[in-house]
Amino acid sequence: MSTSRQLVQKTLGKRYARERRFRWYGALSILVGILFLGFLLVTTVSNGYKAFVQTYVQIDVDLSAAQFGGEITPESIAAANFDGIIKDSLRNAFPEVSGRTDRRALYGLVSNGAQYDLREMLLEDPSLAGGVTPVWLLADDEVDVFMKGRIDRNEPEANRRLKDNAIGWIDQWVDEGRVEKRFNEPFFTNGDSREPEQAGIFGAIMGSFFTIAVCMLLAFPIGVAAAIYLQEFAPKNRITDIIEVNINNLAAVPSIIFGLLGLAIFLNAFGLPRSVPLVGGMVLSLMTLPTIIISSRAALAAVPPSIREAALGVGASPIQTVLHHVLPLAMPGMLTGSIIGLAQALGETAPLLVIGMVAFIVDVPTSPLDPGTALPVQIYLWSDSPERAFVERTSAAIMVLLMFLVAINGFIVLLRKKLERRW
Amino acid sequence: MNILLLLFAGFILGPAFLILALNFTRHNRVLRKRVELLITTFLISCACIAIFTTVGIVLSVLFESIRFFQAVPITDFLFGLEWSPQTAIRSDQVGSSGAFGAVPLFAGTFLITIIAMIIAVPLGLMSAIYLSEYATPMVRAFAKPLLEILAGIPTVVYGFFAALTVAPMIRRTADSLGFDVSSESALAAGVVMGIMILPFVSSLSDDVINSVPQAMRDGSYGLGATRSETIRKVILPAALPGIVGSFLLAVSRAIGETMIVVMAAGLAANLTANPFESVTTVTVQIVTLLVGDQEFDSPKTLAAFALGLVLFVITLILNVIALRVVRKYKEQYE
Amino acid sequence: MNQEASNSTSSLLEKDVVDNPDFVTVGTITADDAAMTCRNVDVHYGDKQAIYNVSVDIGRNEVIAMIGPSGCGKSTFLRCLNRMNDTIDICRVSGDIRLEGEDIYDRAMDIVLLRARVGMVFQKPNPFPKSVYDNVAYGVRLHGLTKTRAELDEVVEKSLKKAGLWNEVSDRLDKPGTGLSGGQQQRLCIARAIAISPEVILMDEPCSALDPIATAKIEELIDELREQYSIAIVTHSMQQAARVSQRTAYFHLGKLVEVGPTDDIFTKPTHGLTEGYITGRFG
Repeated sequence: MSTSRQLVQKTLGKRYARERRFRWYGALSILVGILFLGFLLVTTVSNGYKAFVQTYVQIDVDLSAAQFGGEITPESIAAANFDGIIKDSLRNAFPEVSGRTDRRALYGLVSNGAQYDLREMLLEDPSLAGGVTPVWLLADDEVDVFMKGRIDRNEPEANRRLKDNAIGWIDQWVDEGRVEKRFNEPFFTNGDSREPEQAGIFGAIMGSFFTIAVCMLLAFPIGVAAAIYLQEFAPKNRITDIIEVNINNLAAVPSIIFGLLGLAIFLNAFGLPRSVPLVGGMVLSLMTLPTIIISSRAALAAVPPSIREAALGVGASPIQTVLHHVLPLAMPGMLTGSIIGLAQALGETAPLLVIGMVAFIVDVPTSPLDPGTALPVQIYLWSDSPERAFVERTSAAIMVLLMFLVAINGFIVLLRKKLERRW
Repeated sequence: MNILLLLFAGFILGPAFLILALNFTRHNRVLRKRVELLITTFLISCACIAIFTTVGIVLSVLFESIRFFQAVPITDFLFGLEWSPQTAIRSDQVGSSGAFGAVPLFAGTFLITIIAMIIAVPLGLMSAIYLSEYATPMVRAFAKPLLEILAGIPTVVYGFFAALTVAPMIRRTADSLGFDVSSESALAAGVVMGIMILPFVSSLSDDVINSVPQAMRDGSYGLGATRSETIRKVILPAALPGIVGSFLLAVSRAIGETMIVVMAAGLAANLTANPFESVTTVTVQIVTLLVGDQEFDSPKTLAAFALGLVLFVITLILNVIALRVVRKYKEQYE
Repeated sequence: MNQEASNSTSSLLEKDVVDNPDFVTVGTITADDAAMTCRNVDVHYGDKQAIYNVSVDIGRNEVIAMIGPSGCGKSTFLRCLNRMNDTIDICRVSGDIRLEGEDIYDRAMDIVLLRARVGMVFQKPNPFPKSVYDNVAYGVRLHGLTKTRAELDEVVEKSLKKAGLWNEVSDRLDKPGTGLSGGQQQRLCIARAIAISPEVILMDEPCSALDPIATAKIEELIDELREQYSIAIVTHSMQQAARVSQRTAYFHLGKLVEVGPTDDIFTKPTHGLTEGYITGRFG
């Protein structure tokens, strides 16, 4: 007896060491996941937070009546050549600049979208015109990137797109207090653009909004109805069995396959237009349907049978029982499940690529039938762009997307807290 | 298209109308019965949409694939070693025929999936074990939601992160060690995909581990086993079928994952097992073939559907096996 | 009339035990030759107290039966004896429990070693999903008790023989232990426990999930095992306690009401509550 005790004692050191090691592996695994998450979020934020401000330069623009053909009227403002006006003003600011290449470099400091902004400004407030007026104009993305400290001026000139002379001009502006970083409103109000400083996510957000709206309008009633049938009315037979297995498998089908389905059936067979949120929403609704059905069934199953018996007992028909008594009680759970499906659809990209929602679209869609893109697709599109300023914007768009997801999940938590019912 | 819009309206307005009708007819038995019949029909047709979806997937993918196989023999597709699907702008152009041998794509998909699983399986399983067997309630309350956040991040975000941060990092590290690594290496995409799948493996394993009855643990502890001995020698063997099932689901997810590989893996079809080289995958090629303006009937477009068919069949087989294994396993302890 | 009277007496008696913080166990708590001694054991689950001030000995080479109505804490108490309650986070045990004079809740006491010395058999047979052989060999391998395969074979055979299972399973040692019948499974679990030669064996209602024939076999086995081991058995069956044990302890609502030789408890119980339970007036 005591020998066996000694034998056990002899192994203990080794066994406890192994125990500790095993425990460490576990803790380490979780740590790896969490560190990765932290790393991802930190890089995204540090890459992207500067996109929420944008560089503007103040230029003394010659808006004398001569620029508008002598008379300043809304019509003459609309017709004026603001591109030329801005270029003239830039030349006036640096009279010593000559030669085509240098001049072009100088013109390049201001965004080529500034002319439209200027026109808008004047149309709104014609009193600005009439003389030389200092105006804040949107700077080019390279200037913006430089001002945000992402271009190293000590790097050999050949390696950067912003040359020494341009840096010299910017420095002069900075000394004169003509450079300013402001909240980046265009980022939230514009559609896509080839010019990073003019590119915004509003078009993508509206595209996502229409897509998700269509998706939910379709998937929620269908999913709930399917769940009601399968949970409450379906006879236990082979067909219901097949439907069940089918739904479970559908939940695990790769999302891109749903894109192929959309392309072959909605676009080619039905002839619906490409690139529209309507089709995107239809495809995503098929994708989220299994999620909604499964969670809605769970919500129905959680309603105690006593409720059904009570309703049936006072003479309600099975359908009345379910619609009037069971469904309201199961609704919170169904809503939560559907919002989870919504979050999933909001982040989905691949099927939308396949049905053509990757087109370069400047206009902000105003209906589900306007060509559009979606926020995650916009992220994908920008991530492919070579300009440095797009890295920043991509990260900022990711931050916005994650914000939406956080908000949705926060809402789910709230909903659960508020509506949670314990039987 | 108009028919479709009508259907669309029907699904949205239909339920509201039917519920109203049920209210109005509640005093008339005959009418009520009819409305109820309508409602039941509606419910059944909604339940059938899931079936239609599957049928739709199968039909659309299958028909286009058959058309593709009329142009390109199926054996060339399944066993060919060269993939270069360029179609000519002019019919007499050099290399106009294009080569549709998908083996390099299968190999690339396989390579990235393996890398992802090498990351996700041990980390996911150990996380699940730690959370369910070791972690104090406080640690669990903190770590579990964080892992769930990892699962909720859209894949496009992972893709951007893989391409912009992880791939250059791997490249720099390898450079400093004297290796030559492609900037679109299979490793970068695989590692990030592994992390993406980690919470999936972890939550499935957690389910499986928790369904091992407490009596089993008690039996082992009662004999003087330590925690890790109990986990390794009793719980894991008992949970093995379920764990294998969840791994299959994870594999299926890795194979079908698109955005990470589209953004971080290459486009060129390389037949290699070297994780430092650039490979392409089935999903990457589907996207590349279909994005941009295409004639719908060109073999190039149809090839995407053939790839989709392969993807669908493989993931379906994996899912069916996995779901069945997991269900059998859970029944065993119920 | 009679029923009512006895009911009111028993509730009076109950009050005396339950509401009396100074209640002292009736009978002899000590054994002639104690393998384990328990003194003033309290157990709390969170804020709730499950065991109040229990003191009792477990005698060497004897079977002590713990009986009482369900929820009386007898299983909880049993699980204190090899610190199985440690696996429950909210459970706190205080008091003094000694195995051969060593405090088992002392920091120096190793829990692995303790459980190797105090084996346990559970209410529901819980063989591992391994072969019959591997089930019995599990603990032996863990603790590194044998060096060669031959030695291990010998231990497995010996344990299965002691558990009276050898004849039934010798030809299917490599078949899964979960494939045996309920009674065989439970004897397998006993074989598994005795394979690591414990000093004390705790049995938590080992027959509650078995049919009468399997139960009879296990009871017979317990009687044989007594020659080598000290055994504490929790049972909900008074008949079983009477058949297998030498001493009996009666628990009521977390308190140990009475301990004594089994013959005395069943024929002339001292405390009224014990008598009420034995005679089946409540329980």
